[in-house]
Amino acid sequence: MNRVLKAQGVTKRFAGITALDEVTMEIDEGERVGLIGPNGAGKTTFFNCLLGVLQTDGGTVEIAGRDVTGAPAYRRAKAGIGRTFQRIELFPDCTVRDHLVIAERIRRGDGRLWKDIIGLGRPRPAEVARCDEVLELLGLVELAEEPIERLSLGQGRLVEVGRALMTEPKLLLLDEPSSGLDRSETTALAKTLEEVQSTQGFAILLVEHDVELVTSFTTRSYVLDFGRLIAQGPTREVMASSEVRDAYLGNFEVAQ
Amino acid sequence: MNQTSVSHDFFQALLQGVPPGAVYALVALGFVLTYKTSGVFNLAFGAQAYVSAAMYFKARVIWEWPTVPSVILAVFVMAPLIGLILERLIFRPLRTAPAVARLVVAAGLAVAIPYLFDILADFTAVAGVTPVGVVPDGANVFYDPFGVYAYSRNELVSMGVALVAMAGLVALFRFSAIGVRMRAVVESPKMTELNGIPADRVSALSWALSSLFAGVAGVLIAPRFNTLAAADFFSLMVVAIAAAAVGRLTSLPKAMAGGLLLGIIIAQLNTFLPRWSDDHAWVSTIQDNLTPSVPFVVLFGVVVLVPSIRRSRETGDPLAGVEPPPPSLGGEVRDPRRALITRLIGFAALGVVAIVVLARGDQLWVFLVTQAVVIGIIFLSITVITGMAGQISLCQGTFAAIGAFTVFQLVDRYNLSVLMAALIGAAVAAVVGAVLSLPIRKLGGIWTAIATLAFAYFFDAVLVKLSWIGGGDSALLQGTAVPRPVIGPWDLADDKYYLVFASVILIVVAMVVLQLRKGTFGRTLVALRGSEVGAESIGISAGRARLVAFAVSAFIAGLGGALLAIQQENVNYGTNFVPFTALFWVVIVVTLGSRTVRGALNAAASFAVFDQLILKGTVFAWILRSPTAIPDFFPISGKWVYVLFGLAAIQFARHPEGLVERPASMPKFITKLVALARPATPAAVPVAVGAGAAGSAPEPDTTPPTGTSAKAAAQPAAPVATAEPAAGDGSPKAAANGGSERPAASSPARTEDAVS
Ligand SMILES: Nc1ncnc2c1ncn2[C@@H]1O[C@H](COP(=O)(O)OP(=O)(O)OP(=O)(O)O)[C@@H](O)[C@H]1O
Ligand SMILES: [Mg+2]
Repeated sequence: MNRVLKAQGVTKRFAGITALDEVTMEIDEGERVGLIGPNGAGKTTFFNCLLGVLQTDGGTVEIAGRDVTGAPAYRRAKAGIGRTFQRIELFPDCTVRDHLVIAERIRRGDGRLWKDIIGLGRPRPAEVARCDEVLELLGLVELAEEPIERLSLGQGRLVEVGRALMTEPKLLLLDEPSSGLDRSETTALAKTLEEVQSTQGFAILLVEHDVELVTSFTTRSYVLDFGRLIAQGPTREVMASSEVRDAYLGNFEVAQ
Repeated sequence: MNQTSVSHDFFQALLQGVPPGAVYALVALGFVLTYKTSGVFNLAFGAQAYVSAAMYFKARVIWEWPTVPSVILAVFVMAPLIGLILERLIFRPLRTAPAVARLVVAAGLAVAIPYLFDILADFTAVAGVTPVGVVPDGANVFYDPFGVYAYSRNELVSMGVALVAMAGLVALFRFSAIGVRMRAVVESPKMTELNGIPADRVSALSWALSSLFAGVAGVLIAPRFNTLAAADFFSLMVVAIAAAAVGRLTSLPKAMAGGLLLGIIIAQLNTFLPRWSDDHAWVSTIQDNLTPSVPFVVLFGVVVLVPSIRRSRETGDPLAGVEPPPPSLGGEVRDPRRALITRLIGFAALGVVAIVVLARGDQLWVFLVTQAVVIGIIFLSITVITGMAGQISLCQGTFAAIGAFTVFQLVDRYNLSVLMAALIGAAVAAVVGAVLSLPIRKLGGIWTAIATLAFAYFFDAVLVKLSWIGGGDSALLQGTAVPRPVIGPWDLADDKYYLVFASVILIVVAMVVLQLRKGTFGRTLVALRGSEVGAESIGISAGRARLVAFAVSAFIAGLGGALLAIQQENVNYGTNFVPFTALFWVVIVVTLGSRTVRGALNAAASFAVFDQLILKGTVFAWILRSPTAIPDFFPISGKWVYVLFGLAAIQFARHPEGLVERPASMPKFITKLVALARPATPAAVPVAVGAGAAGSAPEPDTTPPTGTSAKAAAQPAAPVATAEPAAGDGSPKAAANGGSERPAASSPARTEDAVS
């Protein structure tokens, strides 16, 4: 088993608050891990620290054995982190397919300026075919030529997933992918992810408020509260622990 | 040198630095006041100062009014009035437009206002007639309070006025109801934006006040110039921005202190630098040019090195976090019908011009069209940096000048082939662009504009005067001549050949830009412009992409600048490349469309031939087929070019895609004509309309910006989302419920829905 993520003692402070307090997490290849916690617990902040969008105030991050502490976001993306965003970060002025084509081109790293100048910069048939495969998986083929302004929120999230998949990540960070999707769309997304994961073998770290999805999708979970990890372990056990229920779940009954 | 003389000189320089510092402080005060209350980085501030100075000159010297009524008219009536007009008609409706858009609007006004005044008031500055001051015998009567430095009356009045202005502001903020509200707004600018305060009155008052300051400063500073010129007032304003930047743009007292400090620093440098060069002669060239450049170096340094200044409007603002995501610099929305029409008109115009020019061989027209072609190349550099990379660069004139000067130097000194020199010039510009981009590529928004403006002025103040760049003193005597090359059998000294040559280069550059747009580079920039984190999350390096964008843009500008110098057979830095001219370039390009190659070409054509064709009425001579058949009311003043295009920039805030691309409703008959011309499939028209509507979303009031509409829609879906820190601390249980009973927000987040 290869370790794809090793985060140790990650700490992040904003003006007055400690948003992350010594968070430590390890994820192996092919795992599906949940990260849950109440609003403002620091889940998104943790993602931002992993990707390097935010500079941490302490701790180290290793991705697939490479220490990327202090590296800029794009380096970490190249090192193997793919990500979706809680507040969608798509590219206006681009079609759905464009998003995937850009990601594919960047991954291959062969977009040279001189190639653009002599007209070799346009999407090549092979690239388009690869993108369409992923679009097919996500059920977005019909929308390939649509500008993203015309998508629903749920479709937008799928495009983000597709864009992240095109980078062939080793670790995929999903930030509340189900918000904006209805129940059947959520189930479909989970199935698709499982499928793709089984062929590509990346690990998934899922932030989600949809307890049902977390329970059925992940094997292991971490629980954050006020920036601190308060529990971790097999998802069902974690969900059942009284500490977690107090902090987070209230009287909600875990779906059996 | 002994101790007493050093301290004496220091004290003298200190006193000497205060009066100019006071004027900077005055302008800086006004600048910060509008910046903090309305978020407008008002580049038109210098223009407002110019108008008051010119009005005073007109009243006092030409109408021969006495001083007092002249001052009342120029300073106390005109200045606040202009401020009120700007606030009410232009910036208030744009309150929610992105900061960059408002900066561009202000840049347009900076160009338009002086010329509009000149036209309306029938004012022409007479070269060499020094503007009179407001103080009787101001420059001739001296007082020496400390026995170290003798103040002229003008200087004393400057200091007095600055003091009174500051004291007046303090009193206003302390003791009047509206002043207290104003202070609240200065401390939390978000309040005005959120309309939490009777924002209109506060904003109107602050504009009137700050414009009054502009007027006062304009009248006070005027006697220091040889001639009244809008460009000088523009650079005065850049100096004042530097002063405000020293005060970090945060508070009025700090702006005042920044102004004084800058004045004193300059005076100290002036005093002490020569001493060093007594021993070290090599310092003297630098020292001669150092002091005028101080403000620009300071401005650049502060913008780059002090990150807090970039958040200065938010510093300490309790409502800072409440911000809708800023819209991108405009969607690439093209109304296919309008695009078709403009394309047809464009081709027709091009054809007509080509035929006329080549058939008639009219020398003037060959010159003008060549000018348009060469300027078109330079304007394509703006397409790259602004249209593609989304950065407002105000130093494109400098890049062009670097290309031009390189040709001059290489040919002059080393007798290099002119074409080779032009290529090297472009390469040098590219290197400069790349290096310049290193510190500023992460700034973004208005800060890139300010930093590049500071660089342009630094080049203008220092580098142009160095003998190995601008030619220095020898250039003043002998000019900066550049020869025309000979290519094989064609001697480009023949203007027609040169036109063909330049056109070929233009076509090549335009093709390259088109290819870049469609290739990896263009897509990368589109992604970055849309969402920087999104782009970085797939491995795009924003820094590297912007560096390349700056380099490519500078290369193109340098090439264009070289060709312009070769066309005119002289660099002509003063007319072609000064920062104020380059500002107008940006204004005209973004007005007509910075996103497309065609927009740049339209802008170039307008820049070069609008005056001759329209304002001088030549077009009538063509239509009526008689060289003399030009109606009586021509020629109209050429200054209208600046006024029209400067004012047209106002629409940029709402339609960043440019006039030509703007999908606005178009006269019905044209629509019908096109519909007839193109038997479109029944579906095509409604779809096109839909695209137009979706794309033109930035209706400033609701502003779910084109691309971020999905984001805006994201909020209802995640009811207690990140934007509400309180939710997490307060009620974790509610959060859990929020998670499980999440509303099925599957309604399509169409932009139209979000707008309505
Ligand atoms: N850029 C920022 N500046 C200041 N505080 C921030 C910033 N980003 C997040 N915070 C604060 O850090 C804490 C953690 O926020 P975060 O967004 O990570 O929570 P979360 O667990 O993702 O919550 P949610 O479930 O609502 O998405 C919150 O208190 C938030 O207000
Ligand atoms: Mg979150």
